[in-house]
Formats: sequence, structure tokens, C-alpha cells
Amino acid sequence: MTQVKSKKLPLTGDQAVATAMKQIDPDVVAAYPITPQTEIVMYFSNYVANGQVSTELIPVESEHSAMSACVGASAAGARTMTATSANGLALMWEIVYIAASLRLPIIMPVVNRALSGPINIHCDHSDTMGARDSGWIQIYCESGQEAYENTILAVRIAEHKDILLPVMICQDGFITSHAVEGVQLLEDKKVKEFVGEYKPDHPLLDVDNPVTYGPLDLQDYYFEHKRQQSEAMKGALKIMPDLFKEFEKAFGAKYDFIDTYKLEDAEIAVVALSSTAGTARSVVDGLRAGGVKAGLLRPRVFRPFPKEKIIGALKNVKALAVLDRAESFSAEGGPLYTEIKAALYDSGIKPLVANYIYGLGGRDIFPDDIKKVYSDLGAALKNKKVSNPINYLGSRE
Amino acid sequence: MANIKELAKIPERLSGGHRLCAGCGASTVVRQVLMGTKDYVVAGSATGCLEVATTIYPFTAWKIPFIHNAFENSAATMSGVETAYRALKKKGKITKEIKFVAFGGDGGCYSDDTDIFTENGFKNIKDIKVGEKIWSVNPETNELELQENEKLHQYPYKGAMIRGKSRFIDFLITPNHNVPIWYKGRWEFIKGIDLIKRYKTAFLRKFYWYGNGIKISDIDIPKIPKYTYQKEFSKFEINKWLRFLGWYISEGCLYKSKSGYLIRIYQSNNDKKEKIYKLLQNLGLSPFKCNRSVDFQSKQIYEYLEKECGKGSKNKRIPKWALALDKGHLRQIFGSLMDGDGSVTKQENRSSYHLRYITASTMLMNDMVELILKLGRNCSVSKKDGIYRIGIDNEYLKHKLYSRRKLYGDKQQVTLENYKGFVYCPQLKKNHTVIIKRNGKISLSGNSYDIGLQSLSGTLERGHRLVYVCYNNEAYMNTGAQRSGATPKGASTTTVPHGKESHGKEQFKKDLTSIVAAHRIPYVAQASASNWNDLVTKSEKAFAADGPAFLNVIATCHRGWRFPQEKSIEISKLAVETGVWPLIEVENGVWRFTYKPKERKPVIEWLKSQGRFSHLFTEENKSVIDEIQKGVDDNWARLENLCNSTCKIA
Repeated sequence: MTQVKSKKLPLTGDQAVATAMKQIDPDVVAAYPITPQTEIVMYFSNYVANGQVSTELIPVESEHSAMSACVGASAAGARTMTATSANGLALMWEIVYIAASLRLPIIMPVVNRALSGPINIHCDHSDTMGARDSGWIQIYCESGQEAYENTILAVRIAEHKDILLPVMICQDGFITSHAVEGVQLLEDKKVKEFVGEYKPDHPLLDVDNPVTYGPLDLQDYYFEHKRQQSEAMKGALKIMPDLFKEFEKAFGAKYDFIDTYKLEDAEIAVVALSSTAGTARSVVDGLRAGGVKAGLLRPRVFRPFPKEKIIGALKNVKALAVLDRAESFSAEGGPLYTEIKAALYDSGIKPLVANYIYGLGGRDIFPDDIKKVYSDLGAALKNKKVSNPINYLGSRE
Repeated sequence: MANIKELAKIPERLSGGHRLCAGCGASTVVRQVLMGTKDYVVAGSATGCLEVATTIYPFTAWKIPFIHNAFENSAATMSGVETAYRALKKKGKITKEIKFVAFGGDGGCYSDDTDIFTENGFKNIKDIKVGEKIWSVNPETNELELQENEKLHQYPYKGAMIRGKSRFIDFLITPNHNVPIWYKGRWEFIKGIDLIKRYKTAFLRKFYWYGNGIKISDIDIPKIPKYTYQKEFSKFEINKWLRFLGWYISEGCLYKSKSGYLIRIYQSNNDKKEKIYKLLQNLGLSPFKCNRSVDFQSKQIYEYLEKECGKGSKNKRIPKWALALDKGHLRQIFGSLMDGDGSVTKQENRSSYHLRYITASTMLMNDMVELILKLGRNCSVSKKDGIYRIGIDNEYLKHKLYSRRKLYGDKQQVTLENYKGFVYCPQLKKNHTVIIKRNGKISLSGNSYDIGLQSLSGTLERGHRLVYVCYNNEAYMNTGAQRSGATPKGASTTTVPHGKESHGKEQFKKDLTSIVAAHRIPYVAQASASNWNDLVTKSEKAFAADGPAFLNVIATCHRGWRFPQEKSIEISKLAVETGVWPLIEVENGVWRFTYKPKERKPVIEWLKSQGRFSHLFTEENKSVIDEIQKGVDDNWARLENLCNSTCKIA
């Protein structure tokens, strides 16, 4: 695998992420297998077994222990990774928050899967959307290629001295995790150079300068510590573009907080995360061929929320549909919808906005579904009114 | 046994400024446990009294690195810390030697007066560095190989060690040390302790060496700027040159004066003098015989010898490239070395000859040992008045130790010796059996019985090198004494209070010690702060254990148990004396009482001492006290059974 310069390999999304982990060669990985993340752990365990990485793998007995061990290892001063999905993420919930509050740069690929119940192993974003307030940076990937590259990029984001926050790299369960696509791999050496060496400031194992991690934080300090976390998240918005540029310089791949498609002069647009954007793009092409000014916005980073970027991209859009692959049960639509609507409130632009919750539990989303969304937008534009703000796309009534 | 004077010298790791209650059992337990090692320690704790009271931000009472994560996961958290330590150590990112209490899986260790033969000769085992190459023997091919030392294990050891001693063997090892023996034509590993049981044990004395495979017919001599009229050499035939080097190393001297560069080989024996003279002539040199030496002049060779073989008797050495050659070449240099400083004596009443080589150079002594081993022989080294004497063994295949044969005065060849000090063990990259490390990590927790049990079990099963201490206060005390699996029968707690229909907790307490012992980890013990010597000794064993270790220490809580705060140690003692808290240990599967009261006090004395049991002293609850006594008796009998049965197996 060392001679991979400019070579495309047929890999699943899970394989791509495992390959990124191999090239990063973290000090410690503590992980517990869960569908559809299992392949990541399997492939990575193979790398460990064959000596292709120098990582110490902790085959923990649960996700709760996986994140607990990651907290221990990262505090100790090791570059630490794990991976999970759905119920696994839910089981580690308590420690997910602790990892962020201890400002530990843990990297966690998450393969999105519907969170029980009822039990279901297929894709939706209910798992990571639930963790959106945990203090982790969240990156959503459209393809295996992106999941691969973002995993590498995430190391630099997490470990940046002015960020120091853990990162989730989300990809769609089965849709990208198990689909084989051509993934352009980066050179081992270049990846190694790009991620560099992890040099923590106050590792637990610095026995000459003993530190206490995780002290009791009462009324007099807790607030300031949480404030620091939120300042770090805001700071990430400013710092991440530099890292995107650095990544582009090293590997040629362009990254930004958002990805747009024919949005410049679009009158109607759809917002969607991850793999659905691919389907939407082909629908846009079809509509454009018919003279409809359709466009697409795909936020890549959801935490921190790139408000300015999103508003800037939507400034010419007159009617907008936000597609949510998760329900927040607020009775006011999905999480992406509410946040985008909130961002628009004081932006000076006021497009018509509708929400479409779709694809829960892995329900397929077809081009015709998305076509319907655009045609709804066209109708709304005509009527200057959204007839139905919250819709359930592809659900039987 | 811990020595109180020695213990007083160990710096406090938990400072006195913590905010635990006066009289809290936990802090006493923690400080005593931490006396179990002199090494660097990293501590972790679960959420609970200990963590809450010792780490109120921005203060901390911990003078050592400390981590708290959550309530139920201190074992998993520390398993991460321990793994990170191993990962970073492996990569050399932790360059500073964190003194870890180390151990071998089925390995064992040597006493600190042991030397190890390395690439650079003998070195005291304490001084062996990570990455240093050590000579070892491949048990499959019986070939000598250099192997990298990945780690030096070191831990304090107190107790019996196995001494093996004969003319050619001398070792002092721990009873669990793996000893490679020669059995029915192949290598086998047995435990040090088994040497005592065996009538005789054969040790292989002959190893194979095939050289580095590089064939050399000539040796190149570096040129120097033209020096007067002297003849210049470019190469010599290898075997002749090796014979010459042997002579030079044994008997040669270099003299530099105005008149030139002189190489002198001392020799008063005329036959040998002739041999040297002829060899030098054969090499194309122009030697001349003196009264007690053969001399010749050459600046070129002078400089070569000074660089390759050293000048002066204390600096002599055999060049590394020569030692890497195959046996045929090695015999050449060995022959003339022995002709020089060697001696052969016929042993009285025996047909064998005793070969001996003498040198003042430490480097040469080391090189000779390497040479002798590579020639398939063995040797012993002694030093007297700055001179090394190397006794060279004949090419015996094996050497036997007889456990009952007396050789030195009254001493048997294999004996048990008491030892107190540090023992060490290098871990090689290859050719090792499983020799593993521990690193003085300690995890303190009160939430082991219930919510933390899964995390603890996983950590124990994965074999992380850490000591898990359960400071057992028999309830959820930090939140105000709620019932837990550790709460004993009859105790009144806030979630199982006594009342009209209740005598407090209905069930007996969970036997966590047995649950942990079922993980078959190397060391499990129950202790009490009242028996401090027992506790510190157990901590030492835990820190030195071969794998995860677990200490279940009863930690009084005067608030939850309701007794005067100054009586903490007294109450702890009562737990031991009544048999409520038996002091046991499970060392490698063998159960043992470390202390037994002469006569167990009735459990009623324990119950009387604490408010949480006060409701039991009524007519209707009398039977509960009887049940508790029976519970203690039954447990005691069960433990005695376990001790008897496991001891027999061992």
C-alpha cells in the first residue's frame, strides 16, 4: 500500500476510513464493533495484526469503555481514535461530553445509522444529530473519498492548539460505508507529513509536571470552562479555513465549510447533508436542462455551524427546502432546518423555507422524491407561500 | 514485611490538604496503598468522595498525575492511560524513564548483581538500555543472535530466590523465572522453582555460530600519506592477518619515538618467537628478532593496530569485523591469542585440559567471551587485582546441575536464598517468552461493586498492567449512604432504611473479591488499614504483580456507618478480628489467609460499634444478628476450604 501515489482503489467508505487511520497511525485506538462501523474496526485490527501500524489497539468490552479509554489515552498524551455508530454512540454519550470538556482531540469516524428504537441498522442522522450539542466538531461526508480525506484533515483540526476539540467524521451507513467507489489515496509519506507529530501541552504522563485531569468544577469555575469550549468552537470557524487551504496545498483537494452546486443564480435550492447531495445534484442537472434555476447547498461542517458561509451562499435563493435525515421531535421540523431558519432570521434575506424529513431508518431517497421537492419550491415561489412547511418525504401517510 | 522507617521515606503522593472528612478511611487507605511502590505512579479515580474532595478546581491534593473521568469507568479510563503509556514508550515519545514496576508474564527476573552479555560486552543488568543489543540464543536453531532489548523490567522483590551454582554456572533468579534447559535433545523452559525439584538439570553449553556470511580473502589496510622510505601495504591474506592480530592483541606493544613507529610482539619462548617471525615474514613485513621480542617498523600498520585493536594492555580489543567472521576465521585469531596470553594446564587426576586466558582489558575480556561462545565453547570469568581470568571450557555439549550435589563446602548446587532488593529482566525483541511490563499505574475507585463492574471486568480480562483499588465503604457514600451491592446484611441505608417492616438491607454483600479472582489475574487481596503492614505488603505485591492486580480495602466511613470519627482504625480492626473482613490474598490462583485472629470475636461486637446496625438490637431482630454471624462463619469456612484446596494444587 505504500505505492499509492495518484492511484484510485476500489474501496468501501469503511475501508477508506480505515485506510486513513492506517496512514495516520495513531498511538491508541479503543473501539467496539457495531454495524455499520464494524468494517472499520475489522480492517484496522488487521493492520495492527500485520504490523502495518504501530498503534496499540484496546479491544474494549463496550462503547462506554471505548470512549472512557480514549479519554484516558488522549489525556495521557497519545493521538487517539475510535469509531462508532448509532447505539454505540448513544452508549458512550456520557463520556462524549466529557471528552469535549476535557478538550481532548479525539478523532471519531461515525457511520451514521438510525438510533433505536425501533431497532434498525440503516442510515439516518439521528445518532450524530443527537450529539450535536456535545461539543464535538462534526463533519458530514458525501462520499468515501471525502470520509477518507476528512479523517486525515480532522487530525489537524482537532489538535490545533487554538481549537483542541474532538471531531466526528460522519458518513452515511451502508450508502457510503458499504458502497465500493474509486478512492484516490494520498501518499503515506505525505499524510504522515501533513498530520505531523502530536505534541500535547500537558500530558498526564509527564510525571515531572503532574497535572490533575477532570477535577470537580463547581459554581465558581464551571461556567467559564463551558464558555471556553464555546469560544474554541467559534475559533474553529476562523482557523479551519487555513487548514482547508493547507490540505489543498498538500493534496490538491479543495475543502470548505460548505459545498454548492449551481447555486450562484439559483432561485430554488435544496439543502442536504452527506450522500443525498449526489442524488440532488443529478436532479439539478435535469432541472437546469429544462431551464429551471435550481441549485444545491451541502453543508460539510455542521459543528461549528458555518452561518456566514451558508447565508452568503443562499443570498440569491428565493425558495429553499432543507432536507433532514433526522427528526428532532420538536414538532417544528428537523435540526438542520431549524438552525438554517434561525441563521436566516437576521441575515436580511428572507427566502421561503420548507423542511423535508426523509430517509429515516435507511428509507431510500429517489431522484423523483427530490424532483418533487423542487417542484414544491417552484409552486411556493409562484404562490409566494410555502403550503406545507414540514413534510415527510417518502413516508407513507 | 514493610519497614516503618523505610516507609517514612516514601514521599506523600496525596497531600494533607484534601477535604475528605477527618477520620475518613479512604484517604488512609490511599496513602498506605501508595506506599507500595517507590516508582512513579499515575492515579485515576471514579467520581466519588475521594475525587470530589481531593480535586476541587482550582485546587488538587494530588502530587502525582491524576485523572478522573466519570462514575463507572475508572478502570476503562486507566486502561486507556496504560495503553497510551505503552504506545508512547514503544515509539520513544516518552524518553524519560518512568519507573514502572515491571514484570514478566511467564517470565521472571534476575537479581541486581547479574550482568548481561550485550553487543558491547558484559553490563550490569541495571544498566541495560532500551534498544541495546543483547546476545541471545535462538531456541529453535540454537544459534547465537543479537537481539534488541525492548525494555528493562525492574521491580522490588523480597523472598526466596533460586541460586544455581557450579564451576560454569552461577545465577540468582526469581522462582518464576524461565530457565532454558536441555531436555531430550531440545530446548525446554522450566520455572526456576522446578530446579529444586529436579534431581539433575542439563544446560546446553554449546551454541552455533555461522558468521555474518561475508567471505573475505584479503584484508585491506588503509593507506597513509607517504612516510619516508617505508614499504606501503594495501592488503594482507585474511588468515595470516588474523593470526598476527591475535599475537598483537595478546603480546603486542606500540612504540612511537623520533626514530619511527615500532610494533613489538613480546615473546621469550624461542619456538613461539620463531613462529611470529615467520608469520611476519610471510606477511611481507621486515621483522627482526630481539632478546625478548620480535619487532618491526611501519607507521601504516602502527596506525591500523592502534585504531583496530587498541594500544596498551588495558585498551586491547578484537575488532568487531573479525568477531563477525565465521568459525574457521575465528579459530585463527583464537589460536594465536591463546599462544600469547593463554595457558593450558593439565588438570590433576583428570584427562582434561584446563584452558585459561588472562587479560587486563575489559574490552578484550568481553571480546574473548564472545569469541569463545561463537566457537561453541563456554567459559567463566573471574577478576582479581584488575586482571581477568577466563576459564575456557571444553566443547562439552551440556552441563548438569545436581540439585542435591554438594560442591562448594556445604552448599548445594541449587539452593534457595533470601533476597531483598530489586530484580530486573530485559525484554528482547525475539527469542523471548512472554516477558511483559507493568508500569505502576493505580486506579482508585469506590464504584467497583455495581455500576463500575463491567468496566473493571473488561480491564482485568484485557490484562492491563494496573492496580485497581476498591476503597470499600460499603454503600454509595458520596451521595449520602445509599444501599449498594457492597452493603452488608442488616445495615440501614437511606434507600433501604430500617423500619417497621425492614431490618435494613435484606441480602448479604456481594463477594467482589471472589468475582475478581475468577478473572484469574495474578494478584487479588483483601486488606484493611488497621493492619498497615499487611496492606503495604499487599500493595507492594500488587504493584509488582504479573498483570492486573486488585485490592479490596475496607474503608470506614464514620458518616455513613455512624461511629465517632476518631475510631476509624479501631473499627477497621474490629472488621478483621470478627472475621467480617478476612485478610486474604489470591496469588496466582492460590488462596491464603495473610492474617488470622487467634480467636474470632463474635460479630455482635462489630454490629454494636456502628449506628447503622443499632436497630438490630431488638427482640424481633435478634434472629438477624444470628443470621449475620452464620454468614460470617460460612464465609470463613468457605475461604478456609479455598485456601486448603488451592494450596494443595500449588
